[in-house]
Amino acid sequence: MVKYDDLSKKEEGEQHGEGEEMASVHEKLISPVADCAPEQPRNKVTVVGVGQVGMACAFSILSGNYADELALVDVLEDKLEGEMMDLLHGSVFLKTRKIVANKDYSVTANSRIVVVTAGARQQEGESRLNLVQRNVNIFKHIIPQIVKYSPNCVLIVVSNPVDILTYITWKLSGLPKHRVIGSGCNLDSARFRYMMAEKLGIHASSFHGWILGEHGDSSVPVWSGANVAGVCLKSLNPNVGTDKDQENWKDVHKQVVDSAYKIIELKGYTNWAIGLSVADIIESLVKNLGRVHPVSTMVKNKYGINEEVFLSLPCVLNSCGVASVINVTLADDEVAKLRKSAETLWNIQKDLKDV
Amino acid sequence: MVSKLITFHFTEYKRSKVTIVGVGQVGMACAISILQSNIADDVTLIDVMEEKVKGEVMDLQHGSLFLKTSKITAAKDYSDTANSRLCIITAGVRQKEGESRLNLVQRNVEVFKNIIPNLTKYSPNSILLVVSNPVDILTYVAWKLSGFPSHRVLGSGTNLDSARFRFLMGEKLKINSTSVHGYIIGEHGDSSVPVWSGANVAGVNLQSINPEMEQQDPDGWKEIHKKVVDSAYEVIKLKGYTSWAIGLSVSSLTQSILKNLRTVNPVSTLVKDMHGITENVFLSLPCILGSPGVCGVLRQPLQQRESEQLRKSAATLWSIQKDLKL
Repeated sequence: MVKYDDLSKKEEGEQHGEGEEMASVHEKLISPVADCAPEQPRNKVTVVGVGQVGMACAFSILSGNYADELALVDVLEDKLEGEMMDLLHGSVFLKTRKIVANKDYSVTANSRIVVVTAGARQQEGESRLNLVQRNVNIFKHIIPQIVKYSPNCVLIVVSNPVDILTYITWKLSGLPKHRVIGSGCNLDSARFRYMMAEKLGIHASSFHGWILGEHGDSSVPVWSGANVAGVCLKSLNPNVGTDKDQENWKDVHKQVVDSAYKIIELKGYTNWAIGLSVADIIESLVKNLGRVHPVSTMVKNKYGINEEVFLSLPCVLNSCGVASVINVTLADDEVAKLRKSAETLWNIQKDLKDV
Repeated sequence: MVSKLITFHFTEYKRSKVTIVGVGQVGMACAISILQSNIADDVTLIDVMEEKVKGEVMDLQHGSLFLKTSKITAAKDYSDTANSRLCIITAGVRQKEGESRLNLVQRNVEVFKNIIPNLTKYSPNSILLVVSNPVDILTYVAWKLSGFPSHRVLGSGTNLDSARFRFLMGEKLKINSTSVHGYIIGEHGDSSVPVWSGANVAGVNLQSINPEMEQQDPDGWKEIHKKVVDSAYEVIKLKGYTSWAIGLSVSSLTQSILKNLRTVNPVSTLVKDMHGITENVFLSLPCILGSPGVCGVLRQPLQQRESEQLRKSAATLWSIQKDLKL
């Protein structure tokens, strides 16, 4: 499928051919020194699914120079090849030499990170359980193949409903829980920080605030931790985030929850922000940074949760995956919300077939 | 609470604003490339499809935490594009089945008649970078409609063709494409001109190694140019459109202009009186790009055959341009 190999193969054909006068430009131009056998990639990243989200992830990964090899996988062969070609044509402007694509998972071999964006979208009137079951069937095809070719990888699940699909991925992969991460509330928190920062007239990176728990409608904004330069908003306004708050800061969280729906309504899908946020996670993983991100991880035995569910908590990410979790002191109502989410997720997960 | 938390001192000022007209796949690829390379401090998007612009800008703004461009705006009307240093035009209509080129161009002229005067009204000192196809003709149209001096109107031209050319040659030689140098000039599209006489690695002229490069060429070099020409069609056939490569190429040109880098890039510029061309047409030649726009054009020595092709393209373009109602 990688057509550009043809070009150099033609050269090699000539090398074993006739005589001096047929020596190729390649041979005349270049004197080999080292015997450069193809090396194993050190930071290979695979993106499964070349829809809008997958390609935005791919592009952000390339822009950030995090991978020495990028592999794309999908079932739509033409789209896959077209996307790969379009990226390759930008090589002069990039610093990732190897970009490959194939519907066969062998192309993903030896990946350090695999990002899963593939999956079915909710159809009109479809129940969540039904959507999840459909996605289980898709993941049953994808996950074992990923693990077969990259048994040591860290898996990042982006497809929705992300917390459930991260659980499914963990079950289907057989990987230890520190190597299966859901993009979770990383984007919600980024949106939160952006929106709060706008209101305060500062840059998003200088506003610190965490949204945890279930990605979606029941996410939990941890107002007690929201701060700028260590100054807790709650110390300035004890009602911040509550219904009693005259300044109605709580509305910002609502805007975060509504974000995706709003953008989908306006442009049909979201991709840029999620792509940037996934690349941000990958940066911590490949560079072994040990930065803390709100991502979906296995939370059994935390906050009184007894079920095997994945929810977003602040996780320290380094090259092994989730190295550790920060123990955030949550208010009673925040803990209650997490436990309720766990219960809801488990109610769906327990009825899934073949996981 | 805001006033309790922060004591404000200064208000902001803008220095490097880029406006992108058109939020289709190409426009958005340009936007994300420019944002990820941190070269502008203000990116404004405008399109006739208001909801789409709003949605795209929202999506980009939600990525602010990961970006270093403080202002990303959805323009409600052209007044929001005011004071841009650079305006990138990706808007335009696509060729309908069986449509003549002249007809397509005339339809795009109508679209540009709406866009260009509005851009120039609010950013009278800006540089216009045309990406919409057919780019050489539309750059001429933009120049005419804007009334700008020609150094401030350029087309993305063969910048992308040259990037593809270098990529393919790099694959063939197993060398990074940035270390392979070669220009494709002239008309962007089927009749672009690969300047084989200049193709080199580390100053070693490839044609001096293989003088047959363009003719019989058992080595398969000639087919590289053909592959470049076919590239766009191939990618469109496979994925429906092209976006990433053109986005990256436009971002590279944007960087040169905004940062006054004075890099040499093959872009579409007014070529009257160069290489024996007498018509007022735009074709790609290696240009020096900086804050004033096109600061200079390289006097690239061309072979007879190559300059003939340029003159032929110029004649073809002019035959279409002369009938346009501007």
